[in-house]
Amino acid sequence: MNRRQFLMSSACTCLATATAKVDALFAQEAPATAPKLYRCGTPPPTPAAKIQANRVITALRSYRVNFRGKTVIPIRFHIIHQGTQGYLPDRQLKAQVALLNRTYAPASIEFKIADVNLHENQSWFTHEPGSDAEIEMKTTLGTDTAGSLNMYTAEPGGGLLGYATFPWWYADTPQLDGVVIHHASLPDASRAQPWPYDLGMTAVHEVGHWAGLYHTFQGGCDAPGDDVVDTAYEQNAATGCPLRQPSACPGETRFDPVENYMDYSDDACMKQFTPLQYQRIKDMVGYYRYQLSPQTSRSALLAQIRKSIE
Amino acid sequence: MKQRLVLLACLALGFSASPALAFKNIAGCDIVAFAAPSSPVPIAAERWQAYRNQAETILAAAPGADATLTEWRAVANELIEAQERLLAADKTSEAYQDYLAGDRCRVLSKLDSGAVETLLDEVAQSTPEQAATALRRITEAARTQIDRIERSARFRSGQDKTLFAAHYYCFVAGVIVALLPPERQQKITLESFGNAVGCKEAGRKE
Repeated sequence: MNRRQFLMSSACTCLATATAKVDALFAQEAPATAPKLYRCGTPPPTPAAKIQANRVITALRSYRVNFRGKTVIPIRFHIIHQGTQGYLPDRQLKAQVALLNRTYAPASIEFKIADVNLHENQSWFTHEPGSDAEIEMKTTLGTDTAGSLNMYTAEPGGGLLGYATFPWWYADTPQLDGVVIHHASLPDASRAQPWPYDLGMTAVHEVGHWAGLYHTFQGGCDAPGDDVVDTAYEQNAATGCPLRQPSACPGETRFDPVENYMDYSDDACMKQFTPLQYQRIKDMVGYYRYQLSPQTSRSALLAQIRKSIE
Repeated sequence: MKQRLVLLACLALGFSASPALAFKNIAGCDIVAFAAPSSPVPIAAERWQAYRNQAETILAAAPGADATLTEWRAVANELIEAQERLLAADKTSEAYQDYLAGDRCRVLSKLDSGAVETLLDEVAQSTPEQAATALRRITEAARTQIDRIERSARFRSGQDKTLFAAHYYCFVAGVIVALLPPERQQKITLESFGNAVGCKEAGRKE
């Protein structure tokens, strides 16, 4: 079964149980005078978690839910530094947020800086994901994880540029929610020696995970890949700045998505999300991160969908 | 009971004092390689037995099914210390250094779920139930942890990603091999756990 068949099959199964309730609920939720924003809606992303996310999307489509309004996401920056290492001036933070706003505008998402705090701590500065230092850092500093994006800058080890939490992890570990990025990955035109990762794309990539996207090479050639139909199956992560070439996956006629923000290409070569990635971002943020929008949290339709799924 | 309390105290101490990178030990792959009869770094049978005893004791005292990931990390830290003790005497030897620099040095780039399950079943046949169950859980915890990271992280390169994951997979392999019967240990290779790549290819430097 390929990814398209897999998604269609999931959709059909869910539609059969959900359709009966749709019309009445939607009419109730969306009167003509209502605002345009009709929002409905850890374990790791195990196969079960992936199926759960698919069910969410299927339910949103079956209830004909589209998130049309703008979501404003406050960013709380936690600048972890060790002496002067890792210190970031405001202009870099502003440049990063401007880039995020450009890339996420098609998903009707706007970011704004809510807080910037500096913290000097050696073990937090060089922490790795899953370590005690990560937990200590986030439980100490994380603020309003339901209503904002906590963005930590540090120098994580192991060749990591950044990592994030998925929206469906939030319910189990709200205190760990957020994005961690390498301090040298923020846009910095003044850097003496350019780095392939210093144009700010790590934050774009990690916020993509935070908003519910997988890597384009997730699962390699196996269905359902990254759960997004308009990205080609990709056998392996891209490296450097590769030329576009046909996917190596059997039966895949499209090109490897090497310019996609969710691949591993160098920053200069990352250029796009696909339309269905933007759609998934809207769906995942709307459903799982509904507290970013007070209107959503009050939605009876959201509650109904959540009840039908969970 | 006294032994259990002492062990728990040690676990707590290990947890608070450790670098807390639990589930990560790339030298676990060396342990698998050194169990072979043609091992480049021969390890005396008594040391293998001591390693097995330590691993079994740590796992037998591990918390139950409702334990948190933090508690499993504490157990993993103890297991890593046991792995380090097994290798400590040879760590600086010429044979070990030659092995690390040579083509025989390999690390796991992927765990095969079915193969790991089969090996865990084998362990269950020759190990007290509580330890075997704990081994399953810690294997699952380690795999969960690296799965989370792989899905949500950006690495500088595919090689960095492979090396990062190898630390987790090798830790798991090094623990499982500890609890296999000696005659079985000798027939195990890294490929029994999944895909392996050369240390140089993976960028291993330690």
